[in-house]
Amino acid sequence: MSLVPAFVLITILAFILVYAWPSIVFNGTTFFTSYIWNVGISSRPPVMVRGFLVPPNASFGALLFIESTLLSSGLAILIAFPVSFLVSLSVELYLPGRAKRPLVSLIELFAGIPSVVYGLWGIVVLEPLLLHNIEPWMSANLYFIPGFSGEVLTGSGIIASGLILSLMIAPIITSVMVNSFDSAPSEIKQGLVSLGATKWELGKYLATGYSRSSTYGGALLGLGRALGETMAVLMVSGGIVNVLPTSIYSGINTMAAAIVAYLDSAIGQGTGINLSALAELSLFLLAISLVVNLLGRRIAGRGALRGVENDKF
Amino acid sequence: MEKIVEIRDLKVDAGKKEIIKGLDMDIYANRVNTIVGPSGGGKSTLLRCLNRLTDLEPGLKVNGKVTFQGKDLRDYDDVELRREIGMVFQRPNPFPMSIYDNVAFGLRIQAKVSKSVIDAMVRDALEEVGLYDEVKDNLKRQASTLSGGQQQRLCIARALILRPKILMMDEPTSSLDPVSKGRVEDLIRGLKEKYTVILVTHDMSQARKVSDYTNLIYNGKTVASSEGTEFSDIEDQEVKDYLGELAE
Amino acid sequence: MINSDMHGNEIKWKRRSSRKARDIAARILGYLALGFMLAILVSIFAYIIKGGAAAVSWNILTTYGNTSDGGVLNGIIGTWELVGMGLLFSLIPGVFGAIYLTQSVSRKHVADAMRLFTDVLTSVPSIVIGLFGYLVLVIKFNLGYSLVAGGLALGIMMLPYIMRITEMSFRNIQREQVMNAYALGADNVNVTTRILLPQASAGILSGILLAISIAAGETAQLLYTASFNSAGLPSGLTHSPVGYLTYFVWNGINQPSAYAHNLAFISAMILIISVTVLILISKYEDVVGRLLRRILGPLGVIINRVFVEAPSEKEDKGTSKGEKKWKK
Repeated sequence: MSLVPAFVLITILAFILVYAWPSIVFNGTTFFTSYIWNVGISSRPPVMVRGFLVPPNASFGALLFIESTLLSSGLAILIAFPVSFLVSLSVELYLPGRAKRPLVSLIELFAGIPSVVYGLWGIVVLEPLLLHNIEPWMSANLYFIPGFSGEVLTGSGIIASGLILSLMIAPIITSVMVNSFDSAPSEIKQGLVSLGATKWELGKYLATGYSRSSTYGGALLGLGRALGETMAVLMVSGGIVNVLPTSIYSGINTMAAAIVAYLDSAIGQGTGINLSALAELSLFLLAISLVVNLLGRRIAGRGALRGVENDKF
Repeated sequence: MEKIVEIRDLKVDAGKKEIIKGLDMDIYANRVNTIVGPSGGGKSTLLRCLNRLTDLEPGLKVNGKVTFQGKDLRDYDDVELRREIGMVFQRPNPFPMSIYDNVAFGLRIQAKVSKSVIDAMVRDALEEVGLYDEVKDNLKRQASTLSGGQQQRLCIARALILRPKILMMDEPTSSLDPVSKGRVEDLIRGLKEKYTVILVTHDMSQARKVSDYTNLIYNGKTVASSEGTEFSDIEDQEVKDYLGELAE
Repeated sequence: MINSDMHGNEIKWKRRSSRKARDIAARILGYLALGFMLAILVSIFAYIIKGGAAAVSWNILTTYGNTSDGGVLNGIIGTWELVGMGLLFSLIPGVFGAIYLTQSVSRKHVADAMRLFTDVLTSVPSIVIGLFGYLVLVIKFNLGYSLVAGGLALGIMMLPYIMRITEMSFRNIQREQVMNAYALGADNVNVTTRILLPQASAGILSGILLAISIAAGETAQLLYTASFNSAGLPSGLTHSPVGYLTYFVWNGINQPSAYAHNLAFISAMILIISVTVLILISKYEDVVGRLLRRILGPLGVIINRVFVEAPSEKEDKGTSKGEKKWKK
């Protein structure tokens, strides 16, 4: 029975690979170099291109999706990492011990909120706030930072996606950090304090020294989750097509979101190449998610994850 | 003898259990002040009160008056207090970093000093504990690669580099082999020239070897104290029995 | 104070105030970060529940709908049907897989590899499972858009959680106790049924609740496996689409009508409340057990015995009985 997960995982990989194969051959490297994703004209009869029957005008360049995924996840980790560190510092060192369990549970509630609920909140609360208040202010005052100058057209895009993702991954990183602070031997902690370290110095040393591996491992696990997150990002990313982002206010379209968005039309498409292209996109997304996650687990080590494994990784 | 610490009616309450129950004790400067007593009798907690490590455990209620150099312990800044009262623990606890970085750690966070001064002081501290010649060629090695006895001397050096007034040692030899134990005991005797030493032990023979002034703690109270290690004025039969056991 | 090194150089101690200031700054920033997170949590709950509560009515909760008209009943029922189906597919392999992992001491590297696969399975993006479900379950195995296809897609996601948490609950059992049982001549089956399962059941239960709470909030796996049924309940296990709450949220908010938005908020409210309750029960099973007993009195004790406390009750009986038996 313990073989089931392995079997399932390998089956998923194998099937996705088989389905993706025509697209891999058909697209070659343009899949990663072009940002034009055109499903083709399905009302006209398919044409033969490079040995494949495809709808006229079809082209599958995933650069926009890849870039969008990296930008939103990157922003998410930039926000979530320091916030998680500070939260775990205050929970672990500054607040009284009995506040810890309820507070950590509250933070962990973030991991349980369904992603469509995040999306809904993003649409009704976050986007208007970004569109009318925050982004115009940033554009007017922070324009000297590269990527921060530009026109604010909608509230959806990189910032909204990054913020929502950061909320979703902060509990993961916080859990790992709190746990690693906890599991650092008290001899080390007392040793540090008895040399006159302040709480801040203690926390800083634990995070960057003693528990360094869990700190980075936790961040990678968070990143892994952000990369594959689908619905919330789909709802607040803007669903941009065929335009690369020009500033931090631009709309985007991540890999996961694009798969949902294009699957409907691909299903009805007779040649199957559209479906295959989405399978290739899935394969790539799956590959980087797995690599980041494995790396995170490897670095964090089993010990650091013990006790937090029942959280949503 | 100059008293450097005076403890009066110290009480430590852990909620369910009173660990220290109205304890009085004097600590004399430039002496090896030994604290003996059965385990669980409050010896370690007493040490943790003196450098206020107890602040970190909100479950502990500490009452009573402790003065250090004539000033109430609570009037000290905790960080400064811990610079003046160093501590060595039961098990060697080197940080997972190089030998050099371990010794320099306290200095780096507490002092504004140049690299060359750190170098010199690391060397001084290692020489004080007799470790310098053993490790001088590989100061960059991980501290965890040292033997247990070397690690414990490293931890002593790490505390000494801050030039504390008092060095507290909580059963520093209990996890060491006999040879390393002997070296640390020799070291303790030498330290009192410059520092006040407070040594917690449950090993009477060790107390006999190093102690200038010995306090017997039993059940959260000081039941006897004397120069040397001979107690004459004990009446409580339980305590006598305990001492008898120790002597065997 | 010996304020100099051995060569008479003065040591300049850092000014206490600058280090203290940094410590205080860290404390303030820490509280701010915590406050920021909690404020957002409150904002999410407040907006969703406010929006949902303002629009909810008995009628909406008790009629079927298609995200722009009618109610959300098909969503509520469909969600629990799908989750139940997912549990059906994941519970048995999850628990038995964990038993195997716990007992395969001799084949450690095999067990480690299995564990790794299990961990890695949790990191497969939900939409990848969704696409796999569509290509393989819906099309290749010809299940059509259906409860079974959707349930399997959810089960794939629930399996690793159940397995890992079950294994962890097993591991929390004292090793000596297990060894003791073996020493008294118990075999694997005995140890599993008399020690592992009874003692770990609280942990397993909270793992199941957690897996359910996650599954109930999933969308991307279901879009192209369960699809969506606007008419009502699915007519069969296969080839019949299912409605579910997350679809009401996603599709509803993307429609122009205010009524669809209302349905989205109501669905989101139901989701967020049920998920929160499940998570809290799973994290605070000890507290919940005590509360139940206090509030409901004798009735609580019964409920308690059945749902929450069962493990520890059994644990006492199980071990003492078991040990007595073995000692004979």
